[in-house]
Amino acid sequence: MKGSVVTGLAIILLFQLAGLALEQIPGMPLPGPISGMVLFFLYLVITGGGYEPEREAARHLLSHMALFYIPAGAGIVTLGALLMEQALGITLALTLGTLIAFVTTAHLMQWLSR
Amino acid sequence: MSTLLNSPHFAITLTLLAYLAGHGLYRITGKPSFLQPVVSGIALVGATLLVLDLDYGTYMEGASIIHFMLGTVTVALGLPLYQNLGLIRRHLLPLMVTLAVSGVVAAGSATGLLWLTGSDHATLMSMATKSITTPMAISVTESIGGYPPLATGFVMVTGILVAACGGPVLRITGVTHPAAKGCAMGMIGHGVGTTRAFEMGSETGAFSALSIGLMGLYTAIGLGLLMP
Repeated sequence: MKGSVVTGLAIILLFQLAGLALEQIPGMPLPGPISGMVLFFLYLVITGGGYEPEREAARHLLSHMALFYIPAGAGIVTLGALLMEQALGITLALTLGTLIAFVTTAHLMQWLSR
Repeated sequence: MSTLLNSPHFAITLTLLAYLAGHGLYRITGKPSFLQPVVSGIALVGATLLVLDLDYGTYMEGASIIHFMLGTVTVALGLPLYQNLGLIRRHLLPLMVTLAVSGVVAAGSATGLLWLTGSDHATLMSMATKSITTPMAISVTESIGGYPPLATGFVMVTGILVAACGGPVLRITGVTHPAAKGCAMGMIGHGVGTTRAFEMGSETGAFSALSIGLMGLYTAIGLGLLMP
């Protein structure tokens, strides 16, 4: 691994750590990683785009984003009974719910962009 | 043998191989949206656990380093948000109004329908994040008392539905503006919808891409305030 990638990863981890610190504040509505994202975003705005190491590390992480949700996603094997029990509600929410939200969003944005 | 199968080495290697196999399958089949690498990756890991009769908790403990990096990826999402800042500022008002309504309708319609058919709190909380990108959905679901694996499944199905049916629905309901098409694909269908949005055109894709971070952040703040 190139030295710069390690530097970039360390910088991103610092923002993750800072997000985790913010999470400790009582009444904080955001989970640590999302606060970390906001802090990283603000850092990029303030520094006019940051530096190449952290941008490169971020691009690497994002290009393999799907890898990182496999462990959590695989937990679906433990939830078979729940899925069967609530099959109707889940199907309705995912199909009809998504259609309602999709059409509303598209038409509202089109109307506002006239 | 069972010590080996319950070791972190096995869990981590299995996860990486499942991801690579998912990627390979996605490429050779011509990238259909229902074969997202993560869908086949999760299916391969799940099938392996079932076939070898392994405990999910033990696997998750072994693969916890990969799960930890999910937080790091979430932080990295700040980069695309920054890169789209110019477009966000040029369309600030329509974007903010659409986002404000879209987030409420997306989470509200889904949880409302599920609630009507009688559901428990944890399942409702797992449904509330269905339109935001998976890494954010997992963090939010964890913090509001849902099941992260269920949330992941709901997010994937929602994204796949938007990618597969979004184009025809936009055509039938008469939506032609690239910004409107992009916002619908990205705010409701997150990253999976965005892949499809880029195939509709670069402007549609750009609006879809910026919608992912906006919708994620808005939903996270909203649910965080409503469900402390």
